[in-house]
Amino acid sequence: MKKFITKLLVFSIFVVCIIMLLLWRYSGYVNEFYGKFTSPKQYSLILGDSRSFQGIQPSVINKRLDNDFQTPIYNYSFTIEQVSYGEPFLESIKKKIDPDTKNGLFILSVHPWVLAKREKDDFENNVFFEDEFLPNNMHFTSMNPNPEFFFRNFETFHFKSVFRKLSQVHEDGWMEDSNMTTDTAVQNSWKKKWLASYNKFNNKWETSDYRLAKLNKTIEFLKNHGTVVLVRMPLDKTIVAVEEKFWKDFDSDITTIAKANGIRYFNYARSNSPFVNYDGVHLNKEQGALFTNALCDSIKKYKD
Amino acid sequence: MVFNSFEFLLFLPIVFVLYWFVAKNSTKHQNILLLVSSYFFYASWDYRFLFLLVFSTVLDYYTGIQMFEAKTQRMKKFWFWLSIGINLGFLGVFKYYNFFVGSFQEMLSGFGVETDFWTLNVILPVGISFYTFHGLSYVIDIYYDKIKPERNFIDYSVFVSFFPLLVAGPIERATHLLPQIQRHRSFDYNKAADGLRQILWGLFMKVVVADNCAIVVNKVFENQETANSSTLLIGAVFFAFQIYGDFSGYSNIALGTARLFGVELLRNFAFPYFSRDIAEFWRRWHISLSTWFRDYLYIPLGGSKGGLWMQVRNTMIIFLVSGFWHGANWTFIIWGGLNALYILPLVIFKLNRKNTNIVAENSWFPSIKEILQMILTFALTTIAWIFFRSLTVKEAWAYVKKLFDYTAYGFPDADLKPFLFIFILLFVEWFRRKKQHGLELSDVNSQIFRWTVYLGVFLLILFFGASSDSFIYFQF
Repeated sequence: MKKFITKLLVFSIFVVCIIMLLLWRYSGYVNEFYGKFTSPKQYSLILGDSRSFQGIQPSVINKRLDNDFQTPIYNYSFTIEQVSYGEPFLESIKKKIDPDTKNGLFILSVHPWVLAKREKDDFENNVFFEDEFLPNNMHFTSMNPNPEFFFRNFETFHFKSVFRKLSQVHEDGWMEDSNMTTDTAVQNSWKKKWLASYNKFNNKWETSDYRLAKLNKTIEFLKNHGTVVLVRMPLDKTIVAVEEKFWKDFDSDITTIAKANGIRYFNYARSNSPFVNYDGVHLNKEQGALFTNALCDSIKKYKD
Repeated sequence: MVFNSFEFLLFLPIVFVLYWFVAKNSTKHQNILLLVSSYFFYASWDYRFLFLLVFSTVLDYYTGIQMFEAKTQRMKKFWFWLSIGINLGFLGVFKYYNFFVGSFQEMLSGFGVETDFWTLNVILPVGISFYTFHGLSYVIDIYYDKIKPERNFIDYSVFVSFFPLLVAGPIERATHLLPQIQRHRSFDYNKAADGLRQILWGLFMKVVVADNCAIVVNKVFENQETANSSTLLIGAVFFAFQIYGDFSGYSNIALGTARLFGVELLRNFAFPYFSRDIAEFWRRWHISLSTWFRDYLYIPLGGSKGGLWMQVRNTMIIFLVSGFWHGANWTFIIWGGLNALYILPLVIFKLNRKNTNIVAENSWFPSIKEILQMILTFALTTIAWIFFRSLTVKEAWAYVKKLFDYTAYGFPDADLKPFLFIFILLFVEWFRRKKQHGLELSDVNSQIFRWTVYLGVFLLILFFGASSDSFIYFQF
């Protein structure tokens, strides 16, 4: 038995070392989310789904707003499959934020789908679709290495990306799609897919006062730590049309919340938006940098 | 809790440590631990069905004793049929009721009679076909006085519920597994080390071969109407390896896990794609089920004793029943029927036991004739697998028809990467074909070579493993 256990331990150490080495060297490639739970607690955060995950670049903000806020800012955004504004996300944000922060900047990306009630939601009985997903299934959000992440989210790793680097999540949490196609036919097919998905959401999901209230609660909490802004990111007009069909008064609802909290709501999803979404929804690296700069201008103007 | 999950990676060492360190001095304690762990393992799928498993266990345990103690043949028969009836009744209700109702409705509808019978909205309890067959073999063996009933309820329950085999076999026999459960088990280094190798190989087969093939297969079968024939051919070949990697991979993990606890389970696969004819294939594929049908259906029906006609009839019956065992769908029945048709010429011309040895047993490589035989056998099974994989007979038929439409061939529109993993699988298994599994390296003296292979397989799993949350055979 001793021989068996010893050999097994040696092999396990080999295996753990290999995994640790890969994570140390390539964590931004092999898992989009692992870094979000190994980075330290943060002063400033970008919150939302894949729109802000790809489209808002912390490095631009750090450069532009360094004197105005406690930076660096960290992109703590996930995907539409994982997050909505609600109690679970708020709990995760509370864990990620440095409790001593007084002058942080918090950019909350909002749109109808991250404030909708989904099929699995049962608010009365405290059942949230997002419970089982990241970041809500994580207790430890700033531990390096983070074994909890392995046990709960092992299936999100794709070590083959060490060889085929399709996308990279930078140390500041921003996801860069480094292998973006310029083929418009492919991009159009992506847009069609998003349209189909949103049309499906439109039929199945409902507008939610509950989630609006939770957004309000999130803002109230974050205001204790600095400046909060709400952002609706640039979108293709066909997607905006679906969202307006789903939630006609979305902008006025968000404006009401912003006014009640004395914060600003920047709506970039207008027909005259100068930004181009490669798939109708997301911004590529260049467009993301332009947009983040524009957002910094708006925040600076608001701050001054 | 599937074998390729982190939950299992936690569960297994905990049970292992408790088994060999806390309960090692007492067989009774070891068996209680195995039973509790097995019920925990099963409840992690759906705790509600645990009651069904316990009920089935109590039923067969009790009727086994009653049959043995029955004063008259009539009473013995009563207890026998009670057990068989209830066991098959559960299987019938959970697995086949809706199929029969649906088929009956369709038949009536064909005569212009529209009906709306009550159907069940239930999920199939995981592993029900496997543990029911466990129980049936035990009851039948007692009825025919081949074994005596087990008086120790814990031992019997472990026989039915031992977690490595609980959800997808191998289908064990009381004569093989029960004596191992009854006797004291001490740690055997060689057995445990080889068990780990078998688990590693099973994981490779599942997450690298099967799950990567599955990605392509799902796409091809979903878009079969628009896909060209070459794409369909690749989809069919990949499915043949998907199901092999999935089920044989599962079986390897099950057997390897059992060996960590000092238990040897029945071998389920013996490199079936190196078979030279269909009869050999069926001696090498899902062996525990094939032998179950042979012993409890084919032989009681008369086997080959009643002449050629009887042999043909019985062969047809076991293949059709085997198809039906896999699922309540005509696709499975046709899959079974096709295999019966493949094997019948061999039965009729008494060629079914021609290839009982290992292919190219005394040489490194097969002869041209053997290669052609293996390719033909593989092609036949692959065509049958199309029915197994398709959702309806109509879809399967359209798929097969298009495969033979030579004008529809073109450049395949499918990811061909899985061929690389299939090549690795076949390469390793070819050179290990005389062994129990692909990674049996007991005859390799160089420790450096062995460890290089382990790390190589681990890296393949790490870098190229795809993910799925289940095994195909769990649905059966």
